[in-house]
Amino acid sequence: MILRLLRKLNISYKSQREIFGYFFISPFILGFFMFFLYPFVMSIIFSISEIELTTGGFNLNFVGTENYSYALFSDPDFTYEVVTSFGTIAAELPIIIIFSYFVAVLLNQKFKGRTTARAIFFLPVILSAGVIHYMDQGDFLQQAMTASAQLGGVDGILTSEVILNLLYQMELPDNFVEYIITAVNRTPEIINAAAIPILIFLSGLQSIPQSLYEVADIDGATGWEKFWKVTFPLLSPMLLANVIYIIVDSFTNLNNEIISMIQESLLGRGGFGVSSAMIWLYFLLVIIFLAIIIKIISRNIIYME
Amino acid sequence: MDNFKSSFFKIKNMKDYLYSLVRMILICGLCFIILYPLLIRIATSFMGYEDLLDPSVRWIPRNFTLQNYTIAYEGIYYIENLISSLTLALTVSILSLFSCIIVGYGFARFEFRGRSIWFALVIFTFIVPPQIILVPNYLNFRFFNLFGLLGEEGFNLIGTYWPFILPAATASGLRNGLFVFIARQFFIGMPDSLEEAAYVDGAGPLKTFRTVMLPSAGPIIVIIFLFSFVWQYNDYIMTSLLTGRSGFLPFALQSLRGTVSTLYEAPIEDWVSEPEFASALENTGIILFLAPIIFIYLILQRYFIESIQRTGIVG
Repeated sequence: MILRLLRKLNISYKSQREIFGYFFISPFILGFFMFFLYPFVMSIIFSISEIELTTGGFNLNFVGTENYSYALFSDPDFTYEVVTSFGTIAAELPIIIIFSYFVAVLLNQKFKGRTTARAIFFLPVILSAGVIHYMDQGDFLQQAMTASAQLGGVDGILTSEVILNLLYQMELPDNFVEYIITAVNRTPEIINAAAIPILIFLSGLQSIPQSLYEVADIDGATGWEKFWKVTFPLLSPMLLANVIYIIVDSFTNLNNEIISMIQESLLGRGGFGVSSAMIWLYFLLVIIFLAIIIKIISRNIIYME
Repeated sequence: MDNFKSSFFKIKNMKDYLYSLVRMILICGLCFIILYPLLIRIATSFMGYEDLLDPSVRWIPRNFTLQNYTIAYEGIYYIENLISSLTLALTVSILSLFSCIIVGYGFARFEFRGRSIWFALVIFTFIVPPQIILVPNYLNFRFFNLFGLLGEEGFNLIGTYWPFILPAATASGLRNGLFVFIARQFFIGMPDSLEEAAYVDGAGPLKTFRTVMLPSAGPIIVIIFLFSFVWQYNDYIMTSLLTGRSGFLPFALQSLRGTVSTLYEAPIEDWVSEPEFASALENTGIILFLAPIIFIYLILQRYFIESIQRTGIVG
């Protein structure tokens, strides 16, 4: 019907397509202005003012950079937590990437019970509930579980004591050993964080044409060469997507210490203004961090034509 | 020569066999780590009070009981809260599904001025943590007046479902940027000839979308629905802020201890003050909370995994 009307008005095919394009994305345009841009701009304004809630609404008093300087210099935890959280993500990023690639390769092979294994590996996507994490913090059972795991007791899910001794005896650098040990101790968290990266890698692996491997086989390439010359270059777009996803996820996730801290200060200490300032500082740092990493990776990315 | 050949194949078989054995062990181990928290919760949920205090009881309950389930069931007002949680999650996920698929289709299939800018904005909404816009959004819905169009005072939408329905219907709800992205990637991969054939047959863009494109979009429909449903069902911060903290499973779970100690008399009232018993109760509550999504996942799981293979979420 709309089409007939447009034809009657003598509108060219190209403009018709433009109108329909805007018609299809119009929900997003509406929502973007109402529920994203408006709150987004408001939160910038909040971060430079003091907010008073009144009966008929709220009043804003302009205070300049006061909230920012409070967050940076007066708040006891903020800077410390920010530094820790960047350290954690920098340490975990390579582990999650390597692990999820490894699992994706495993799940891509043919074996009995593959469907079940896949279903279990994607389960963390479903079970990563904010409320469960919240409950676990005060939960007796969880505390007992983590405590025994850290002690390396028999009940712990991972007995790292044995591996630790082994690694020290190999006389590897201490930093390296500690890195491995923290990684091993955090296995459950890493597996949970890897669920979606595994999905992304898996879909990438499946999009690589089998013929490329056949060609490589004919040329006598070894498995190692095939990985570096075929799989890795063709997976590099997925690698970038995964790095972005892992960083964004770890920063917006509710298990993130900073996010929960900011949420607390929303109701307590600083109020709306300070918590807006904190989250803005944090967000800007994340954007810078992301930009640097994207810059480094995208230089080496290869897109299949 | 024959002899050599057969022994060579034996070694090759052995190698394959060994490889698949190692793979099996690895996969089983990793699956166990993933399932461990769930399994231990299920195990404790069947233990009686004596078992919980007895450190020698592990995994297998000595006094098998369903008591934890009956108490937790009452304590979180299961049916009432489940219905409201499911209603909210279903409404939001169906609305997001529609809006995100439509918007994704628009981005994938039409050329228009400013397309790349709008699409960059979609990605931007995904990168910005929802916490940044949480408080302003609260105030937005508390004094909702559409930039002054609905009068100075505005409406108070806090406590209703509107703060969830409106963003979901306009593709700007929780993580909707990601869904639009997924839908766009899918529709870009559809062959042009399908659409052209429909146009030649005289169908307009709307009809083409409805009758040609939508029926083949099964895989992304499953993915978007599942993600959106689960994230909304599990969400706790947004829901607590925008609905005024009542009548949903996550909050009922949080106040489970308190509710049980007021609902029941001794001895259960006293038992709740023991951390072991309280934790077992909460874990039983968590199982009850997770049961519907695990059920939905088990049903959709096959389509979910298939659709990942076919869509290729990224790229």
